[in-house]
Amino acid sequence: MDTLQIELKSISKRFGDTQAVNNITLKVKKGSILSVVGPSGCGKTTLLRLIAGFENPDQGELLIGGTPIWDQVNNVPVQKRNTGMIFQDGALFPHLDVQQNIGFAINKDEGENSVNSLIELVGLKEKKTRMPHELSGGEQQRVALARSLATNPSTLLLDEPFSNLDIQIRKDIRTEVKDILKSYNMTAIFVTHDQQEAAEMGDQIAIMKDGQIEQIGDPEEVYTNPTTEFTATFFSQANMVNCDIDKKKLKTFISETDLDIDGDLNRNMRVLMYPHQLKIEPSSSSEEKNGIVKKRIFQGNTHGYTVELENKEIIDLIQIERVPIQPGSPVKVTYLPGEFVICFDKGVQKTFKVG
Amino acid sequence: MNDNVSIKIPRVLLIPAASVVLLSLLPIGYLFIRTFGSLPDLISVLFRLQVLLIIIKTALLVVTVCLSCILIALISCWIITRTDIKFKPIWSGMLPMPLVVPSYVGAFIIIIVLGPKGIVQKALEPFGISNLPDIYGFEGAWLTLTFLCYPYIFLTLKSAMENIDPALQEIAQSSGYSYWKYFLKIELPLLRPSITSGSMLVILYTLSDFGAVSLLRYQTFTWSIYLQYQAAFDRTLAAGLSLILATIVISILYFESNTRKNRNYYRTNARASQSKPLFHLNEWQIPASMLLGSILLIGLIIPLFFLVYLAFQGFITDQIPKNILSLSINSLTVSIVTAISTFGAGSSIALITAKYKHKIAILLENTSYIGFGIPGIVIALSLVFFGANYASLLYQTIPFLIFGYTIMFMPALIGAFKSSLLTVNPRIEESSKILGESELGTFRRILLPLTSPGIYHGMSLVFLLTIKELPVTLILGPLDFGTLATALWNASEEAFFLEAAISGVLIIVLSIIPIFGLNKLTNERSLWIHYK
Repeated sequence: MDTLQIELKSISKRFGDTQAVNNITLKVKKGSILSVVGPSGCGKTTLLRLIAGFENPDQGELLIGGTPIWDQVNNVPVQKRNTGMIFQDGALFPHLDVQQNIGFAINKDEGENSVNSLIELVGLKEKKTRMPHELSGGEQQRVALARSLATNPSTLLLDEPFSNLDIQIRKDIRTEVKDILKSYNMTAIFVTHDQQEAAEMGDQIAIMKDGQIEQIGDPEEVYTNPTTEFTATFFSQANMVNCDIDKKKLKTFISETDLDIDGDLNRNMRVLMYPHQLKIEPSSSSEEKNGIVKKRIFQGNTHGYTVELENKEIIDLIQIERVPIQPGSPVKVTYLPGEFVICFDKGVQKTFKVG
Repeated sequence: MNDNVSIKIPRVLLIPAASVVLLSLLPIGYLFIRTFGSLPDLISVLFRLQVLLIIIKTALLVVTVCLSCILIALISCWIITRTDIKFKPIWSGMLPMPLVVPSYVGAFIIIIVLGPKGIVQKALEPFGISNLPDIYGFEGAWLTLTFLCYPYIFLTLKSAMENIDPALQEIAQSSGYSYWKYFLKIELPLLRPSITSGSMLVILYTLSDFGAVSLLRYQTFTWSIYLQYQAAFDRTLAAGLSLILATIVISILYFESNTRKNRNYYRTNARASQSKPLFHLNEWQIPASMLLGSILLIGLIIPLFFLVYLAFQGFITDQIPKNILSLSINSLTVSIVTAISTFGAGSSIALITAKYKHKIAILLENTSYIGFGIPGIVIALSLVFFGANYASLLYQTIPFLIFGYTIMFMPALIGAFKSSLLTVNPRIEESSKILGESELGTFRRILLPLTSPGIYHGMSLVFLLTIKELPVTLILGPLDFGTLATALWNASEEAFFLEAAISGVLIIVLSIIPIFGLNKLTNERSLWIHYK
């Protein structure tokens, strides 16, 4: 069951002075979706293009379905890799209509049935004779998906396929695409810069920065247990706050927490605080207040606040509160840790039990 | 992203492209090697008073034509962009049009109108004026080429003048500059790059022109080369002159490509062109229109009017050349075949230069352009030398003629094809490949249909250039072979003016053919060309 479909071993790629992909090793199981998320320019698109065969790595090994696709000896051409790719802008053939696009790679005699079933799969039966420029962005991406499924690829590569779409459509189409991929038991790598999209689409998630993978794992696990400060701030959207650990106490500007540690510790570190672990109250007395609201964002059923603490640290937090607090108001922020706290000691992650 | 920088140029493309470039450089390379091979002969032939005279005459023509073109272009562009002259769109649409008149047609009309026993002289005879200043020689050549070439500067200059930020003028005048001081100190320096690049084209055109100088008997390089080739048994002088001319042209092209690199620094702000302050012409409205009108009259209306008038005269007096049908068929056939063969030869180069930013790609493109810059007469002569020695079976056959045309006009196709290739999103090509389609299949199923308007455009350009071509056809064509262009030239040399005019009208009529197809094609395809 758990056969490997894609395997990258120490893959690197350099463009001039930029190390686009730096020594990446990763594995994707058959039938599973890996989301790759990172800021723009982190090398995630290059990673996809290396797997597809549009670029050649400088070094490393690449296997698909256990077969060497690229290494010092082998270099299977794009056409023979049996992968499919969906691009950000769809890249439909502008001179062909919907059914001709989907049937591009299908043999005419045998293909009519499979083209029709693919058109139905993506719900474009009524529009099969439309030209690409007559379709909406979401419909174009549906055609692109159907077109890439037509060749029965072993692996599908998706390069930010939804980032040009409206927010409302985006949410629907990604559930739809995920369902289709799952029904085909398709192995897929899904590249995006949107953390939420990555978490929703991926069985596994890889956080990428500067050509390297910072962390890879189950989305929940990566969220609750980020191993680097970058993952914590970029993916988990957490605050990093300066703290002192003094014997068995973790002290920050706004809190004191008892830790359950063997022996005593005496260090400056940074502690990770999730937005939902912070509580905010309006404060009238100057004794109580420890910060000022800088910004408030209404997010529907929650409010997002950016608070500047009196020691000049900036923190973001979320509050489910009916009465909004106006920017400029003095507030008291408190920290409610869970069972564990995660600290970073010069970049090295340390987890402590709250005692 | 760094598209395709790391991917090697596929051999399917590189091998044909490199072979085409090498093949097209072969004759001209052979000319250089052969001529340098007999250096003592060359020196003894070239250090003559005759050669010095040719150089002086050519330089005189080039400089005077270029200066008068700049003057005409500056005045007409200034009127169009800086005043409130009426019928602006008509003026700016019509003034570039003399560009389409072949130089031998222009020269032929000048002879008809201003020559001995010409129309003007006949009209003046009743008034006792029986001698007009001689139109043959420098005066005629200068007049013809000036009115054919000024559009090159007009076009580059006009867009540059439209793009100058009007705020510059306001700033200058608020700091106390008079308008003329502003124009000379600020605007003119900003316009210099576009005047230079337009002038380059004028200089190249004048250096390469054969039709006008040969009919008007002015001994520049091109006509001297032809005379030497025709008359002398020893062709060393013709080769030597070709060599000098080729060297001059290549140096100009090199200089031109260097100045083009720096041109970006000069680019001025294109915003706010709508709020440009205009000079109100008021009572000068009519004189200004008359000035522009007279440029058009000399450059376009008179030549076309007399061409059609004489052709009509010839038609009703039954002086139609007997072989006019076969001449037309010849012209059409070689032009169509050349259009196809430039596509066959140039498409791999266009594909490489559009898709890869390799050094090899740039080198291929630059060398393929040499054929465009080098005068037709030089290409023709180098092919004669090469053909007579190494390809005697092909020499003076139609395929060899087509080969000559292809070398010369391939860059026109490459340019048009390349720019339409650049509009195709590279992801579309990649989609085809990842769906399993081969390089060749992707070309056939994706690139070819998407770029067909561009290809058609390039091929019609080649068609136009070929149907108008004169010196290469004269020299490389088989002995009994003629086109409308050579027929016009021969008839006009022998003063069969009515016959010549009929050929001239047919050239213009046939040149219009591809324009119809082009409109149809672009209308059909424009819908999805805009979808990206």
